[in-house]
Amino acid sequence: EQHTIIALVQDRPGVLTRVAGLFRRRGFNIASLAVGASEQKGLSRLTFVVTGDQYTVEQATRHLEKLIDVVKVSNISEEDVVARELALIKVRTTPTNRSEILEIINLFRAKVVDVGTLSLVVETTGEEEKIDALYDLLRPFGILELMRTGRVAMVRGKTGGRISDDVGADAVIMGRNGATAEQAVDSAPGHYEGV
Amino acid sequence: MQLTGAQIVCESLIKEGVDTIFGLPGGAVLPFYGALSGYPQLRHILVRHEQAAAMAADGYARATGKVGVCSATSGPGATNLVTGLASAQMDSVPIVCITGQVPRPAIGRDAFQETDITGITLPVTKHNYLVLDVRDIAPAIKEAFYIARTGRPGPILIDIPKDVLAGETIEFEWPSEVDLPGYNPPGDPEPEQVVAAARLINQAERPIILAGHGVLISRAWDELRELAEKAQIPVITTLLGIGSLPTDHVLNLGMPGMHGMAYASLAIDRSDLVIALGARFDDRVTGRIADFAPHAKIIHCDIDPSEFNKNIIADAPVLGDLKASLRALIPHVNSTVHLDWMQETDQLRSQHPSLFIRESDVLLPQQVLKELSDATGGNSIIVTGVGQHQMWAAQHYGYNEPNSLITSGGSGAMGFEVPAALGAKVGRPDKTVWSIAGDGGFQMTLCDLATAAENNIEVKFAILNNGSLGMVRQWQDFFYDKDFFATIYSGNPDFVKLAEAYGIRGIRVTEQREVAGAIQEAMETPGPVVVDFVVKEDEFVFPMIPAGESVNEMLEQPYVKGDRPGVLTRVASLFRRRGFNIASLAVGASEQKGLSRLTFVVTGDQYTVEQATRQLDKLIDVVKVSNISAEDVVARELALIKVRATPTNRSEILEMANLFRAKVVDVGARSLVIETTGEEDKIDALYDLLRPFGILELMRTGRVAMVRGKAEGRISDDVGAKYEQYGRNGVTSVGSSRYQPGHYEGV
Repeated sequence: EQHTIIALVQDRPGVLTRVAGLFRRRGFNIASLAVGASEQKGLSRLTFVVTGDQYTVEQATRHLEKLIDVVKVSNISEEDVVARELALIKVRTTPTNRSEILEIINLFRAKVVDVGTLSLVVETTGEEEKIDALYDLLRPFGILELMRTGRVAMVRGKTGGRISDDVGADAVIMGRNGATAEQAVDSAPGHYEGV
Repeated sequence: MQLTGAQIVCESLIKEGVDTIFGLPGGAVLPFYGALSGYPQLRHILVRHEQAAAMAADGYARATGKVGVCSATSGPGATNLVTGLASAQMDSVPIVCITGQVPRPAIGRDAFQETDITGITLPVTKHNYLVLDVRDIAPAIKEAFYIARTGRPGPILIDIPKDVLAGETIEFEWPSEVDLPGYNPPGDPEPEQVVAAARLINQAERPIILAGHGVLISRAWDELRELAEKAQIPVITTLLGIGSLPTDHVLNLGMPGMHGMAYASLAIDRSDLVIALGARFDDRVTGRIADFAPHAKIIHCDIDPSEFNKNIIADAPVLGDLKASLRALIPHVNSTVHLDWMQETDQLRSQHPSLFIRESDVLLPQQVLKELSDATGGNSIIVTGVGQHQMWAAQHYGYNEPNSLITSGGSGAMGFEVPAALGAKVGRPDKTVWSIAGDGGFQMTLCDLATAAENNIEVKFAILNNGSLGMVRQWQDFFYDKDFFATIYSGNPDFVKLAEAYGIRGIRVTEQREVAGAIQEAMETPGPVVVDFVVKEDEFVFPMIPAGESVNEMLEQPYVKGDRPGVLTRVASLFRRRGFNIASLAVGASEQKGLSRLTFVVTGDQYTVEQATRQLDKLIDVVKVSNISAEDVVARELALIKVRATPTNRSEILEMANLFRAKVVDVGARSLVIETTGEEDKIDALYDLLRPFGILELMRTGRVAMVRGKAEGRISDDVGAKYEQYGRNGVTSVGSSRYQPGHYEGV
C-alpha cells in the first residue's frame, strides 16, 4: 500500500539527512521523495510516498514528528488531492520513427524540449499512471535516460481554501477498541511564519 | 563587552544553571578550555576517557534531575562519547555535550582529528548542532538545554569549530526565548483520553500498574502512589522505574521481565488491565509480545506518541506529561479494592520466592547485595554496570527513594558503573553512593579511579568479582551447550593492589562472614574505597525468561528447599500447552529426600514422545527424564472399584474378585469396594466383568513402572536418560540431558 505524506520542515542544513537517516534506521520504505521550497520563507515541503501497512505509516508519521526540524506532518493519502509528477524522457530516435514518436507525445500532450540527431527529450507532467503509460509506449523505441521528480501532492482547495498541512495534521490516536481521541500532536498554527 | 565564542559558551552555560562539566581537552576544543579556566563558577572535572565524561554527565543528570554536561575534543575525543550518548538516548537522560571541531575551512577535508561527529551521532542524540557562526552559539545552547530537558529528555551534542570558538568576537546576547516551530512537547492530556482510561480502570478486576522511567522523569511518584492506593492497584516497576514506589510498600509487586521476579511477570500474565505509566514496553519486559498480558487491556500513558502502538497496541493511550496526566486521571478513578486479586498476587508472591537466597559455603553475590541493603537501610544511591550483578542489584537491594538506582538499562553499556557513580556523587554529595561493578565492566572504565582519587569523589566501589563475563557465561550455559568460549577472565588484576596503585583504599572479601564488616569499614573510610568481593563463579540470575519467550517458559531457581509446590502444575501445564496427551499420571515420593517420581503414559508418535521428553527435561524442577517404553519393566496399577451389590448377587461378585485375586476392602448394604493391583489389562478385564452389576465409583492410580533390576540392579532413571538426537539425514549423535549428578541433592 502506498501512502502520501507531506512534511513541512525548517530549512536547516542536514534536515534531509535527518529524515532519510530516520527512515533508514527505522526500516521504512520510501518509494519516492520530492523536496522543494514552500510558500513560507525558511520552510520547505517534503512530499514522500511510503510503502507499507497502517502500522508502518503511523510509526513513520510519529517518528518524523519527533525530529526537531520537522514542523508538521500530514498524511494526505485519504484526502482528495491533486498529485503530479514531472518526468524528462530521452528517447532514441531515427529519421524514420521520429514522427511516430511525436504522435505519441502529442497524444499525451507532452512537450518536446530537446531534439538531437539520435534523440528526443520529452517533458511530461501528470499523475504517475499517465507518466508510466507514456513511458511504456516509448520504451520500444529505446529509452536513453529517464528523470522523475517523484510525486508532489496537494489537497484540493474546495470552498475553504484548505491547506495540506492543516489536513491530517491532527494525528488521530486510535485505541484498540476503536475509541479515538483527536490529538494535535505537534505545532498549532501560529508557530511559524506566514500563517 | 566583546566576547569570543568560547567565552560565549561559558556565559551561556552559566545562564542555563550549569555548575559542573566533565571533560577532557584536546586541540580543537582548547579555546573553550582557555576560556573555562577563567570561570571558577564552572567546575570542570577532568576525566581519563571521554566515555567517562559522557557517562558521568548521565549519572549526574539522573541523580540530580538537572541537565548533565560534558565536553571533549574533535575526532577520537568526540567518538569516544558515542557509547555514553547512545546510552543516554535509550534511557531518556538529559545531557549536553560540547565538542570542538576542526576549523571551518578544514571541514570535509580529512583534517587532523576531524570526524563528522554530528553525522555519527544523528541516531544517538535527541538533536545535535554544528555551529558555524559565533552568533549562533548562544541560541544553540539555549535550544539545546531546552530540548534536552523538556518532553522526553535526551542527549544533545553541540559541535563547534575551533575558529568559531576563537575567532570573531561579538557582543554576548542571551536570547529571550527559543524559536522551535517543530518542537512542542505535550503537556496536559486530552480529557477524552483521560476519561477513556479511567473507565477501563474502574471496570477492571485485576488491574496492575507498570511504572517506568517516566514516573521518575516527570517526578510523579506521589501521584503514582495516590493512584495505586486509591484503587488498591499493585505496582510493578521496570528496571528504570525502580524507586517510584518504595520497595517495602505493600502494593509494590517487584520488577517484571527477563530477570524480574516471577510473581511480577505472572501477575501481568493474569491481569485484565495493564496501566503503563512512562514505560515503553521494552522487549526485556514483554518477552514474546504475542504472549504478553494475554488477558489484559492496555492503558499507555506517555509523553512520546511514537511509543503508542510501537510494541504493544494501546487500548487507551493518554498523551501528556505523566504528572499532569495522573493529576487529571485520579479524580475519575473510583476508590476501590480488589480483594480476590490482592489475594491472588499475595499467593503468587509466596509460591514463587524469587528473592530467596540459599545457604552456601561460597560467597554468593546476591548475599553481598542483600547485606549492603541492610547496612545502608536502602538509602544509598546504587549505580551499576551491566550484567548479572546489575540484575542482582535490581532484585536484592531495597530501594526507598526515587532516583536511587542508576543503571544503563536500554543500552546496557558495560563500564557505566565507575563514571556514572562519580557523576552521581558529584551531583549528590549528601548521599552515600555505591557503585556495584562486575569485574568485566569495571575493567572497561577503571582508569577513572584516578578521577575519583584526584577530586576525592567519595564513591564506594563494590566489585562482584567472579572472574568472568557473568551474564554472557550464563547464556552460554543455558543456550550454547555450556561452551564457555571467551567468557572466562583469567587475567584479572589484583583489584586491591590496583586501587592502592591509585592511592585508594582497597579491601578484599572472600567469605560470607567478612561482608558486613567490609561494608562498614568502607563506609567509615573517608574518600573513595574499592571492595573486591570474590564471589561464586558460576552463579545464575534467576528467574529468567529467555529472549523471545514468555512467562510460560520462565526458568526459576532450583534451590528452594523442600518439595516445591507447583512442580506438578508445571509438568501438567507444559503438557497442556504443548498439546501432549497424558493417558495417565502417578506421583509419589521417591527413595531420595526432596525428590518425587512422576510416572506418566503419553499417547503419541515418536515425535511426540521425543518432544515431550525434551520439553520436560527443560523444566528446572525436573531432574531426570527416562523413557522406559522399550525397556523390560514391571508395570502396575492400583484400582478401587465400588460395585453395586445386593444380597442376591454378592456372592457372584465375590467369586469374580477371587478369580482375579483381588481384595474386598469395604462391604456395605448396597455396595462392595474391590481393591486390585496388576497390569492395566488385568484391571480393565476385571472392570469389564463387574460392569454389568453397576459401578458406583472407580479410582485408578495410573501406571507406575520400574525397570527390572536384572543382574546389576538397574535404576529407571539411568535407563533412557540419554536421548538420541537425530539429524535430518538420519545421522545420530547422543546427547546427555542438561543436569549432571551433583547439581541436586541426594545423588
